[in-house]
Amino acid sequence: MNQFFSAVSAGFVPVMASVIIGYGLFKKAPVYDYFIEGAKSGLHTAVDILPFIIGIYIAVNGLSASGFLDFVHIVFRPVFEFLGIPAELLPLIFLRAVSGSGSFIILQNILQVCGPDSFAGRAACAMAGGCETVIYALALYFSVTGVKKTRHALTGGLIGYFTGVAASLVICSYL
Amino acid sequence: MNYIWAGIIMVSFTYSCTAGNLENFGQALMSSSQNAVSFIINLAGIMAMWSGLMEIAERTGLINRLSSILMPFTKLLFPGQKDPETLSCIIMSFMSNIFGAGNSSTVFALRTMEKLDQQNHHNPVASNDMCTFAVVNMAFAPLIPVVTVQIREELGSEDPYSTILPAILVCICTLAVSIAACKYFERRKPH
Repeated sequence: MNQFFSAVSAGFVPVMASVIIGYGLFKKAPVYDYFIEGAKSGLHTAVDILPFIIGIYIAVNGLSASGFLDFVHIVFRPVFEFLGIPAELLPLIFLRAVSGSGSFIILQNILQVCGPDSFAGRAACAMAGGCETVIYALALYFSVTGVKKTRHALTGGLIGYFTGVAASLVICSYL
Repeated sequence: MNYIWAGIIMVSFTYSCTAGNLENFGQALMSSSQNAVSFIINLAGIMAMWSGLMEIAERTGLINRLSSILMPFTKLLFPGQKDPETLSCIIMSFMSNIFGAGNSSTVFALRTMEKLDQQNHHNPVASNDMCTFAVVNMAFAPLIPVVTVQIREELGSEDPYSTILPAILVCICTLAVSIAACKYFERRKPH
């Protein structure tokens, strides 16, 4: 089963690429010319979003480097202990929302401290797998649009995020 | 966005001053702008590749076929969406998410947002489809979280794959709640 999943994951990009090109050949289209044209516009988008990415990166990495999460840790620790949630998960719960690569370093720490097969370890893995970097992704998505008011996108994203956190804890305590 | 961005940086600055972390903070500012550029260089390649492939798919009519097949499903989430190109970007973004091609998914998400923005006439207020797409796309998780499995393997887990099923279940919960939340907000505050 796991091997099947891995094979499907690994095959996605090559299969999609060959289906598209194969269909183009079948239709006798000038596939290479089309590819070059599309690639040109793709590069344009990449350059267009660069300033936004720099802005997001500065804010996110600056926040984690300032040590602000230690402060969050101190404030929320009693709440977590009261609810019976392992306090080791705290930094992950907060950082996962903003930074993908940063949260993997924290995940590794949690697994080292608590053990990969402990409750905290498994819940952390489920969170890292099931929750997305909401704040970062939203900032990036809306950077290519002219939108100033994102309406319920942030609230909806955060609701989804915290559902993911809660579901990880509940599901891992049963499975 | 202006306030959120400035807020985050000011909070970080204030905290790093009080915690004596100013040097780290300064370094992070510099290195993160460099990281952003190298991230874009990586992403640009993938972006160009997918844009090229999608151009082929679009001009040969493959996109029209694919989106008309999947129309019944996408109609549930995006009732007003008729443009085949946008629909196929949405579908490709969801699919690359599921198959763990995170960067490809980002590429398609950005293309989708660009197209939705055009339909929205570059309006400063986000459309329903934009919100739904962003929220639902963020709720999707990869079938195989490669990095997680790798870390678990390295740290000597008895069964590195054991968290895959919980993660998928978590994702299903998140998806259901996210979709419900979006639809609820749409009804409560239409535009």
